[in-house]
Amino acid sequence: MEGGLLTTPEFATFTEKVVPFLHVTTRIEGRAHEGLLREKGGRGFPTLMFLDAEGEILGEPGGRDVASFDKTLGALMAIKDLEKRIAAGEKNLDDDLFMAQLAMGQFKTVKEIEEKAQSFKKLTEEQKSTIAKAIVAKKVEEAMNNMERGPDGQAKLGKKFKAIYDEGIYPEGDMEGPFWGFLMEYAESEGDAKTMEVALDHVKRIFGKEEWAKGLIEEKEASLKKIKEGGEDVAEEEVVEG
Amino acid sequence: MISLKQLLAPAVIGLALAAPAAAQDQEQMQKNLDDKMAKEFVSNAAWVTDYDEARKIAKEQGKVIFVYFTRSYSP
Repeated sequence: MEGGLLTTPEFATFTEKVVPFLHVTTRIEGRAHEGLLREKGGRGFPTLMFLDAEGEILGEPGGRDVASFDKTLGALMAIKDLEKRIAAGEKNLDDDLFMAQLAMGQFKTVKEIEEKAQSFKKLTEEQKSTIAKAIVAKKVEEAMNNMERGPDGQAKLGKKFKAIYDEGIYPEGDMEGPFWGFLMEYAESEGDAKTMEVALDHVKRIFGKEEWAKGLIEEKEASLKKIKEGGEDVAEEEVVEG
Repeated sequence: MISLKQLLAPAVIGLALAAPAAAQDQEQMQKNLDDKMAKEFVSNAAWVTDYDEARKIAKEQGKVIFVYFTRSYSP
């Protein structure tokens, strides 16, 4: 990113629309705001986010390209506009604001989303679907944040993700990668070729163009093949025995 | 090769994120930061590097802050 996107003229142009803030975690003692990423709930490097003038998180860009940055910024401006109109007394905008805030991930817990959603009596099917997806994404995020360390924790997380997967609604946005990645690992450990194949396809879609992911994907493809071959052997044996 | 955990489970970074380096490493950490700030991407935009200053400008100009979190202590 630092050797690519962030050095482009398109990115430089984008930064003129915002206050571009570069935060470096240094491990230098006594440095002001050294732990800011952690305070903001960041989980790795690099992390990108939009903040308001008070430092409150407004949202994270939907992708790592200038078009996504612009799209997210546009959505944030739309929220700002709705808030102003509501504050000025305009009616019937609450559900639009809720859906826009939901799309930006501005709710902190599943409970908060559910309570807010219940306050709306009439929701379209599309809105209901958006809410369901947002709840799933938040469930995945909460599970990630509460993950126990070590292999047991990873297995428990994978099991939770399998239960979510079985319900048929999948997270979008930032939680997509961890969701499919952990599900892939879990399915592999369980010898569940069908689920592993689906999860691996998503991992390829999300990370396939990344240089660092190539080795991992090859490794998982080989593992999947092995599981499938093992499964076929068992099936053949069963047929013979029958 | 990067492990799956590093790729897909950024949550596991946890406490390591903000842990200061041992005292003897402080000089090296400063050098790492200087090297980071000398990179081309830093001069490509008018980055603000002070959090308080960023918030102040956002308030004055009515803009939102776009943060890029990176690290210098490790590549």
